[in-house]
Amino acid sequence: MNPDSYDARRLLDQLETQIARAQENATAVAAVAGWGEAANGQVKVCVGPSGVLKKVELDPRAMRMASEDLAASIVEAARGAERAAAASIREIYSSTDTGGIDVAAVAQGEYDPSADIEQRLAKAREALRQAG
Amino acid sequence: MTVKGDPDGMIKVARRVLAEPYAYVERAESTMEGPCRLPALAFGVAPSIFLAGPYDDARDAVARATGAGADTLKSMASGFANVAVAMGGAEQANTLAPSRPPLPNTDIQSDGSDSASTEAALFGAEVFLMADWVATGGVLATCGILAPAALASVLAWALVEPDDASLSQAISAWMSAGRDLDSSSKYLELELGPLDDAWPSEDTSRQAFDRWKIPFDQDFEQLQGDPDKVAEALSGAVDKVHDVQTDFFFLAAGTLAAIIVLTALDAVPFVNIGAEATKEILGVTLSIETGSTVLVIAGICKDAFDALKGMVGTPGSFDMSKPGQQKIPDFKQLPPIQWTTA
Repeated sequence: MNPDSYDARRLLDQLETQIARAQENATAVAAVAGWGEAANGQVKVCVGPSGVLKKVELDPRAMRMASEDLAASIVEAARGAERAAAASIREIYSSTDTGGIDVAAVAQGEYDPSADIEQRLAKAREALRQAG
Repeated sequence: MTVKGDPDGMIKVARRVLAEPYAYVERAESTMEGPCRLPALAFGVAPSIFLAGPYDDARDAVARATGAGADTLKSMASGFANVAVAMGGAEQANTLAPSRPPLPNTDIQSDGSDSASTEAALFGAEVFLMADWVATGGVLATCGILAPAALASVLAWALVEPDDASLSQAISAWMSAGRDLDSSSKYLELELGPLDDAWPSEDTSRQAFDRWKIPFDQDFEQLQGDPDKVAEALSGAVDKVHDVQTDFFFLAAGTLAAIIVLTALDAVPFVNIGAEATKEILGVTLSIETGSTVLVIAGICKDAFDALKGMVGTPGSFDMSKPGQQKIPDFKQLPPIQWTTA
């Protein structure tokens, strides 16, 4: 976009393209399934885009593990699945301008806007200082 | 007192001073009193408090100095006529009048038409703030629709709505006035050339004129530079505002991109928990950034017009022993034109 050659029609077209792309991406995000495994593949976990558990697959051999080890393996596999889901989401948005937002972190409830916001507010404060 | 010389030649020079040299100065003054005026809201509501006073004071001071310059040219012509009478000529100073020769048209942009814009662009006076302002306003309005917390940014942005046509006209008018003063100066030197034949340099009255002309030339040279100073202050403010607008447009466009992505994510089951809150935070931040950008634009205007305040800071403080010290020339401080009594 170039504000110097403002054209309302062009701006609207770009906006519609952005919205259509955002909707396509959101649909792709909804279908994201991140898989993770542990204990040499005996424990497999699948999570949705937000990291919510969707499926747990245990190999029969896993049932011979100590309960503490099995629990730890499930957690480990779930974390791997979450990372895989985040990687898939970032891949979906790799060619999209997200305004600096980490969509994967937002989707999984891990986005901390404070650093970004503080940076932008610091710029605003500097601008105000110069204007004053 | 009898003065030796050519009275007809002196009258001819007097008449010529009242032709192009006077006409160009008179038109420059008229331009400053007319098209150089700038509406207080030219840069929007927010900067208007800084614009109205200093700009009008500067414009008025330069216009008054230009009017005094025109009066001095008239007095100069009358002085030549009086010298001609002292040489034995018959024509009195009171029979002289400006001859109003036809002058080429000015290049002042008076409206937003394409042809006027082309002329203004030719002289570097075309202002393009409105396109940026509208584009950014459109982006902010869209942010406000998708994230209501960003609506305040739309209201803040409305405070810096520029008036391209008025700014273009004022800048091109100052440039035109400066060119008219330059033309007057060049014509004056040309028209005074024949004085050397008509008025011998060894005559005491001629020597009195030569002494008088030194501070007059300094004042006139300073006057020639004043319109450019005001035009530069205006153009400089426009350029800086344009840079700030462009930077802010890209910042707003980035925020809009984020808000669009987050809005689409709202529709995804189990994903919308953080999206709505993040949108709200982005909207509030954008509103704060818009407010600070509005203040930056107001600050740019304040700086530009504070410079104009300095320009008119000490009118009337002309010191003959320190030519060039005053900001705007004061022709009334020149020595009286009584060359024949010298």
